[in-house]
Amino acid sequence: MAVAEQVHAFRSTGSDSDGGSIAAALEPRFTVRPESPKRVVRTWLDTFDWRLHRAGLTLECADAGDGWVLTLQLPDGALISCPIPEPHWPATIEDLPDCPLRDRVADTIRPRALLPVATAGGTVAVDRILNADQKTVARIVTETPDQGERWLHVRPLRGYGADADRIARRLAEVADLTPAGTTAYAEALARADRTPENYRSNRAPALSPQLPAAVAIATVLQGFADTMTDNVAGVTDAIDIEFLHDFRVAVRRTRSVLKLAGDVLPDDLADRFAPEFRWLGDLTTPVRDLDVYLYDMPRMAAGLTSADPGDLDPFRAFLARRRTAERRRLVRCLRSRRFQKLMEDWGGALGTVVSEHTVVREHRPDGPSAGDLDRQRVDRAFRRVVVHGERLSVESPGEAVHTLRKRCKELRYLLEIFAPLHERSAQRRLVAELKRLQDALGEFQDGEVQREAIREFAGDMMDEGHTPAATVLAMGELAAQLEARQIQARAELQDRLQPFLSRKNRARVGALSGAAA
Amino acid sequence: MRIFATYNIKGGVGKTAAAVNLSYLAGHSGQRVLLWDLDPQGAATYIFRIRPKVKGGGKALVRGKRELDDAIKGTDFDGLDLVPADFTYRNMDLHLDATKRPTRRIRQLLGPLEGEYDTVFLDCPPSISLVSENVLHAADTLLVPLIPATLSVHTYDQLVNFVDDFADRRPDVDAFFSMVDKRKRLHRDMMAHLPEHRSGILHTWVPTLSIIEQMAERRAPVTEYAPHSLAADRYRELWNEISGR
Repeated sequence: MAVAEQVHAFRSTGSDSDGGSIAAALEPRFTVRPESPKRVVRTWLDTFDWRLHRAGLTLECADAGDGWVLTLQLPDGALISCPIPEPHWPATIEDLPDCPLRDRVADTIRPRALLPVATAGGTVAVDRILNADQKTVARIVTETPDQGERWLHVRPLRGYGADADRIARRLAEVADLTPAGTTAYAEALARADRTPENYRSNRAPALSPQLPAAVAIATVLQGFADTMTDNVAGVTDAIDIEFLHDFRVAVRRTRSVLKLAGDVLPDDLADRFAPEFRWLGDLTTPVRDLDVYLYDMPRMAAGLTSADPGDLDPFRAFLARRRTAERRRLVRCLRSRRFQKLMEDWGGALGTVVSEHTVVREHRPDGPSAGDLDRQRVDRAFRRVVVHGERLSVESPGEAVHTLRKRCKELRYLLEIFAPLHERSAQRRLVAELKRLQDALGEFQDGEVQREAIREFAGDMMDEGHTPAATVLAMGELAAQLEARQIQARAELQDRLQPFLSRKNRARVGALSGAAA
Repeated sequence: MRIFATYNIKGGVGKTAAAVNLSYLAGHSGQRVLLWDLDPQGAATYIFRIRPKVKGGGKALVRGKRELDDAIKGTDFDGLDLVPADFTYRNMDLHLDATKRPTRRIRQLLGPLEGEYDTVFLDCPPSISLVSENVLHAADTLLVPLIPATLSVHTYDQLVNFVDDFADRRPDVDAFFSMVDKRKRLHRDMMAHLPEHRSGILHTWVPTLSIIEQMAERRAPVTEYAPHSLAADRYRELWNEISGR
């Protein structure tokens, strides 16, 4: 289990490193007790966005013919294993059996599903290395993969690290064993289609200030289009709720960029495509909202003080039914000719802009650059936030808060897409201040939207009939909780607004272009 | 992290056999388990073929000169580690007495291992001492092997009364009949009637079996070398019963 000591790895480049030569190298201090070799198929797992990899964790599912075992390797090399019934991937954390391994990865991966990353078959032989007391002090695991070279790992037992080091030193003297600096997972990953390196998130692409503005914007939009494409299958196959979230973020960003900087694109591209992306965005809203309600339901139910959490079960069932219906509509649209044509035409149009305008720029260097566009649009978006922010008071209607939130989102998107052109420190501080303001705005407005939605759902459920009074009362308590949160958020909002509107923060906008000049 | 302690004031009642087998089964089920052999005789340590030696002895552990973490040894079985016994544990009472909170020290020492283990078993020496008082304060559940005999019940009552008097947290006290010989009328009668008069008696009971005694010779848990035996079945039932509570 918890093996925190260094795992020594060797590659075997010939046939000299058989059991006999290893036993001879370890004698007389240690004896080797071989166990029967097994045919093992290992599948490494991670989320679509590589959360385990980013956390330094490696998760594999091994099938040795006598059952499946999940093994998690922690950053310090410690291993946690858990036998599981026949797995079916993708699987969410709720699909795994209740065990310490599940507890260890739950917060890292939730709500994402685990997907197979790479699979490798081979033979695994384990030799237990015993000391004079016939106590196991280490294991030598020999893996002979179907593809590639043979591997030997010396796996120490806790508290016997010195013995493992001694064993490793003696193995290093065996003729055809050479210390290895990689892992079986790294080798399998090198042959995999999906890797952490080729994962395309919603992150901003590398831009330079001299790039023609049209090319910069088209490049940014290409990135969002790639994210949409990458996430479609996960949405239609219902792998986990984050595929739709990422898809939706890419659509929303596309719409914002078209609105805020689409005028630099030629051939009225922004005007032509904006309605189609609005259609796409609107299409995703109902399912995403229902995903969020269902995901938050346990937390909301746990917060009930008067009603029983079980009273919300009919509400949960209602949301699940509605989600199924909305999802069917969404999937139908994502498989439609209209969507396919949109993505094809959009990709083609952006590709043309990038190729043609790069050429044009060489002949007409006087057009606007990415740096010019950045300064102009970020400055304008910031000024809009300031205008709306200064107008806001505790008496302002909810609509005014909503408008400020939209302006803040626009500023945030611009800051993110032009981030590669910005002076890092000013960018980081400005985004941090903006994020704090956005959190308060979000807390206020989400509370309002959710409260309204709960009222609407309650009405629909009553229309359907058979809704227990206890459920409606529990929903009323949820709405009251949201209102209480909203009142609190409104008070915090004024506190968050002041630092954002401060002179110090305004000066950061001017400092953004420091590095790009 | 749930802490079990196998404890009885009397010796030779099956404490170590229970600690060894239950900790093996817990590890086998995927839990991360630590067994601390607090008995200077070191029977559990011997069964797992680990040398009964802790650097600096019990004194260094109790006084905080050495972390408990440094003393942990991996057993031959996945999921199960052990803090070995050390002959100096016989003086542990003296060392505990010299600390600030002498009855809470063992719980304090286990604190840093909270995230590392799911289950801890404390295999205790048979006595009433500062060590055993520490164990009673450290454990979430006291697992008391009970030979179905009058004197055993008397000591069990003493233990329950003692724990009931704790001012702060009290461990659950779960007893199970151990070393049962169904040929003896006394054992049969006691098992039939005692649960009616005492709460906390588990359903599972462990018979006297020579295959359990062979653990010292084979130096492994019976649940490992004879997994299909009656003894292994009983320890599995016992583990299922206590882990589900």
